[in-house]
Amino acid sequence: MSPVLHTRRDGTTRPARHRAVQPPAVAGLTLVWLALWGDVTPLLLVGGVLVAVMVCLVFPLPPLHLSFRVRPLALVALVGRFIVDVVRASVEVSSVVLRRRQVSNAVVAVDLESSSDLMMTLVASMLSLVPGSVVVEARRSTHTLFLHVIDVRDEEAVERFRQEALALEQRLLRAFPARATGQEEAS
Amino acid sequence: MTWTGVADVVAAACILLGALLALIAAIGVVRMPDLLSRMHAATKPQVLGTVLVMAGVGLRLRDLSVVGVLVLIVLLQMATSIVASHMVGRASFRAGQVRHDLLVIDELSSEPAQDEPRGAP
Amino acid sequence: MTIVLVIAAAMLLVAAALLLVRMTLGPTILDRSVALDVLVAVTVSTIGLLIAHTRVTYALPVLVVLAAFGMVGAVSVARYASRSEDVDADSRPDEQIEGDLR
Repeated sequence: MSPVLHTRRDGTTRPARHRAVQPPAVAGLTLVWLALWGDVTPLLLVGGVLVAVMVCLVFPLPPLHLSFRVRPLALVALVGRFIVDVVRASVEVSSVVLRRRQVSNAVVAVDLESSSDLMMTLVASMLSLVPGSVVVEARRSTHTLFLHVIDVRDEEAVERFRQEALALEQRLLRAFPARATGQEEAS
Repeated sequence: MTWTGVADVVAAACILLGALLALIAAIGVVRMPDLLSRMHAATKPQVLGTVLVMAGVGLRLRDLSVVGVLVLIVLLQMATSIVASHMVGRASFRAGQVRHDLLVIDELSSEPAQDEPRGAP
Repeated sequence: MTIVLVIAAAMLLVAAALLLVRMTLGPTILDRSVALDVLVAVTVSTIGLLIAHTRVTYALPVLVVLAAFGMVGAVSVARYASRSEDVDADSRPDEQIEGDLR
């Protein structure tokens, strides 16, 4: 990734200065630190926060504007349905592997409804975690994902897969609805 | 049957299922005709297999400090397998190593040439 | 428990052998890297079996490292196997890129 540049008023450029230490990143890294130690003591907590701040300072990343809320119930529904999907798809792919027939696949284009990059990433991640679909190409300009799907026989099955992928996106949008004020930033 | 006995049985079932998934995935990787089909078979032990085996280990050890590490392992495995599978799938498609005779419908190749630079994220 | 672990270990061993077959045959380097990825997952499962058998947890950090860095091989191979240009080759003006990052 090329460095983000700010243009000064006289036309020269300088590298943008992000606020490197972001609280969510520090919290996440501290959690990882505690999980690695497998214990929670005050000393470990302080050490974890220090290490997390150090990591954020040494490897700065552009800030992620999380401009959405979280609906716990919809999130539970999302995760539950995801687990069901993973188990079902694993069984299906296993049966495809074990039977003696030529597989027929398809490359399906899914036009996502949401225009946020973060949503697109989440949908792509969840779809590639489910066995039976691999993200072959992602086009950011049109928010289209191209997925390679196993064991697709006809047009009807393609359409069914596309509806499932869009339903997954709808569940994600229900779980993380965009905050009204942060709408422009997210898009 | 005590609580620990039940946990041990469930752990054994989880580990056995995870190993079975890995075996089927390996069979799939050998048997499937082209790379992308093999990748579908490969996703299975990386996601569900790891979750099952780690759940088995957690139920067997029954130690809260271990559970944190196990959750971390599962999350890391998932996060990295997404990246790896997307990179490999994209590379294979762009290098033209896909067997188009196995594809029923190919909506990517029938698209008009894309306007974005190929390296764009 | 021990019998189950032996059966599981046998299945994993067969899986690893099959993956080695694919790694040897694999027509392209991407096939080999996929097989290597699955082999890493099988290794993680096998070390999990060891931990479940011995109830000794010193090998857990190995699992963390394997899960986190098993991707490096596949990603770097895929990076050089595709004929795409460099990711840095973003020809748009900087303001636009910056706007996308927001």
